[in-house]
Amino acid sequence: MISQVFILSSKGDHLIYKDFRGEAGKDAVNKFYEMVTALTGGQPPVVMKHKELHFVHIRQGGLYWVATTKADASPFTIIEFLNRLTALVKDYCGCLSEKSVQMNFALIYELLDEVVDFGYIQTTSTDILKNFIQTEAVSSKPFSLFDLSNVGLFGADTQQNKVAPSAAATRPIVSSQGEQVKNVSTAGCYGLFLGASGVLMKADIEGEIRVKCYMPSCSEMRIGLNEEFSIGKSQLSGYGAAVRVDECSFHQAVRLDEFDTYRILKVCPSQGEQTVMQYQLCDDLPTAPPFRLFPSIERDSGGRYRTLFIHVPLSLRQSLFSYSAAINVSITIPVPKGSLRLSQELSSPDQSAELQPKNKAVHWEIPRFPGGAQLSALFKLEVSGLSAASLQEVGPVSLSFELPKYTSTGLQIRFLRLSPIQPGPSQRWVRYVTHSDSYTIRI
Amino acid sequence: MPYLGDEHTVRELRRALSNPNVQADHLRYRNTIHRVIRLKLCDVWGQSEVLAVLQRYRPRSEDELFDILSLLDPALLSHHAPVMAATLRLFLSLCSTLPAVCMSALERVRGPLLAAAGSTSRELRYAALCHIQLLLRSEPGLMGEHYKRFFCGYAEPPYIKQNKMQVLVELVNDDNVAMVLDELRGYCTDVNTETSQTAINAIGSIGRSYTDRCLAILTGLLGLKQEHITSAVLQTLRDLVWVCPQCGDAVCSALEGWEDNLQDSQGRGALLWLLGVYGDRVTGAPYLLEDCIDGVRSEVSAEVKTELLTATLRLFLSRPAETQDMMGRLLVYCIEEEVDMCVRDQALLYYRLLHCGIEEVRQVLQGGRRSDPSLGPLIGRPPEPISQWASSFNTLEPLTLGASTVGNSDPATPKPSTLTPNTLTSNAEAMTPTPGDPHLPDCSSGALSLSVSPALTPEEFERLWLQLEKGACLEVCVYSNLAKNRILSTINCQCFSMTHRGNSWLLVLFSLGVCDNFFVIF
Repeated sequence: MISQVFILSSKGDHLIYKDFRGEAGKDAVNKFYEMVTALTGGQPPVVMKHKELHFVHIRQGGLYWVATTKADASPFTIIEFLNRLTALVKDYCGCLSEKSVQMNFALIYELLDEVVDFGYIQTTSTDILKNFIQTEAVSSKPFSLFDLSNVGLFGADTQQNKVAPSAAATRPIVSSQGEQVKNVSTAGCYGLFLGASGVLMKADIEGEIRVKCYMPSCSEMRIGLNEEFSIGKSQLSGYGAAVRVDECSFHQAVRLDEFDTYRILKVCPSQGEQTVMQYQLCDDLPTAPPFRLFPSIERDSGGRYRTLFIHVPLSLRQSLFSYSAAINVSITIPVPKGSLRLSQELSSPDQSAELQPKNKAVHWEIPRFPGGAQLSALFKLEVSGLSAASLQEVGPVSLSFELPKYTSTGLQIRFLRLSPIQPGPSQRWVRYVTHSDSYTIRI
Repeated sequence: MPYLGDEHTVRELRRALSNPNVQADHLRYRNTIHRVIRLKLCDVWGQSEVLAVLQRYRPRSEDELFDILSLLDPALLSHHAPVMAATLRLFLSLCSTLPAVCMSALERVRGPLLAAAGSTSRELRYAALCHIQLLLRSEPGLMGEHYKRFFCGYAEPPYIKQNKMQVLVELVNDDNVAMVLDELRGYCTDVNTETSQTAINAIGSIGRSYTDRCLAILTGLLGLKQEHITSAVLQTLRDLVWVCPQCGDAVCSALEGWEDNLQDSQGRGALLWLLGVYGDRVTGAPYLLEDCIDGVRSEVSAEVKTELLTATLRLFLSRPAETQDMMGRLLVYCIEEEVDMCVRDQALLYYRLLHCGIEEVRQVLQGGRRSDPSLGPLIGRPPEPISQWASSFNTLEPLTLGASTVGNSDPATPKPSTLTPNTLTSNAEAMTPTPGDPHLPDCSSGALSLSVSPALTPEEFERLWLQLEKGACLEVCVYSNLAKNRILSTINCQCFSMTHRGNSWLLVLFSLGVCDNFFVIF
């Protein structure tokens, strides 16, 4: 039973406040902000208690989303509710930020009215809610699908381009009858630990298939996956690269009657974003890790004993990436405490590297990494008080990257069909992306 | 009213709960409840509300109980965390008398809980981790083979990392100890100081069972010469030595070439304690202490000064020639110039003790325990019964409890205190009645209060008193007030009031005993 819900900006400005049960006063808001800013780094901020009132909050989009409760409620319910609320606001307003919340406060109050009744959560599904929500969302930058069709090289004909920029996924839902668009994106998060000798210590992938539907009324959609897709460890992999995951779970509304034979998912997507399928794969990845890194560290054996050379050759596997590239690759190397200066040799001008003394790390940014390429960097660090033990501080290297058009499990969407066929023109976009979750390589 | 999905269902429920005929007819009631239990018709929120309502229902027979359990079974594996948690809570409360069913429910819920612990939402991950810790209290082997899931990602917030490290400590066994220690070793150099301190403490906890490996890692960390790491390592070593005295050699060799100047007062306290206990084996100990003594005027913390006094006295016993001079200087400073009363009293006590003779000093300082192996290795702790935590599962309690323990970086080891009551146990008890004295209020309640009506009649007290054996007889020739004060202070008693008639004296003394008992003696 939720007593109040409020949204604060990171500076403590009151954006939204709604009291459902009248059990606690408005001073709870200030009290919460005091408590959350007084926490030290190690203390968990999720649940805090003040007298009889519990504060449960999440942080998203730079805002604090807080629910208070007097009863001993289930933490999973409240946290899941807050997550769902942020997803709803994001669906309606396009993006989640202080500005969009401020511009759409009427919509958010209406949402809160419908979603929670006297502290009991009623429903958070967009299908049911769209019948009740009247307010239109105001978005900070108006978006039109016509922008997309002009993407192309100058001089090329203005045929409808087959590629939309990824900003299409963050479009807000518009309730008027406009363009009818559906996006299906398959996103995977790649977590990996490589030990010191290159031995793979732990690798796992968590992925999901998300459907974002802008059509006001949608009938059944059929999503076809790879035919050789298999679930579970007990199944033996046949010839060729079988597509396999350890576990997968489906959304409630998905019908699986054709899944066993043809690997087809049937779902009636509601307007907005929903996760149709989630899957996990641990430890037995079908493909080798995309990035390979062989850092080497040396102390300067010449005159001055205070320099550390770190040589980092980095390569991206060729086979699958010959036609695409990884974007926004950033590499972080922790360095000893007394590091003073960094000088670097990088292979191309658009890369950049800097020493961040606050985090004691060297940050190397590569905006675009072509497939099959091998880039390397040589860093020269001046460290005061360098000793043999300082080499231990050059800690595990962590990478963060985004690989578009690639899924590490090999999961592909063969087709996307709507039945019955829609009257107006409808567009379907399929996007594959792999993000790094925690890609760490020990030295 | 929560949105249960179907009007029909709501109507049935309302009718059943209000109609006394239906309640009397248990068959119809059961059918109604079964219809409610068709949870698939409800959405997530409806399901969790229904499950919360069902907590109040007590099944009438075992058949009914098993019917309900089998109907709820699929909900246990639901990938929606609220539903899974509510179902498990219901299972545990319904089956509190059937431990086998509870255990199998815990096994089944492991998969969904692990999935929640890996979810993208950090707060959900934290909630799942706190609940996993609850489960591990009853079934420590539950997550054994999934220990890799608790390795920390580098971008995770510190509170999740610390929780994961606490879980990792409990999952250690012979097969995975090498990998877990390797992993924790990597976290010790984390940018965030609290995370690295928690990692070092975790290594210390594992060190109770796998002493050699952990000692090697801890002494290696000393080589990094970083303030917060060194301080945490010293505190961990002190706690480890208290439990495993066999580590003494490794600790001595680590302290051998010590040069650092620590700023952190807890770290310095730990260093001084170690020097005091192992001073006879560390060659440079007197010189290190001398540096500290020279700087005692600028020392701020009272605990550090107290530790310094005790350490110097201990070292004096084993190496008198080198420490005599600095001992004198320290005592002079503490007695004459020190402002803090506790430190001054401690110094006075040691001064008088020294006057009593070296044997008394030895008996007092070294008669006490130097270690407590009974605290035992971490593994092999008996699992708790589920009923102890079942009522707090799926409530906010484990998350708020987690807040208070994560902040405290010391795992549950007692700080070996060197305060006087501990060391003077043997002497103080000589002059006091047995601890079974019913005059004493209950120490565990904390605050002391005077009770007007004593629990013991005077006759009973006299009888009890005469029954007591004489612990020690102190024959004292009290010829002056000063002597009396001195003697009394060596046995840690102080005098309330005093009268004398002729040759006999009546003294009212009081003393603070070991467990903060307050003894009043006549």
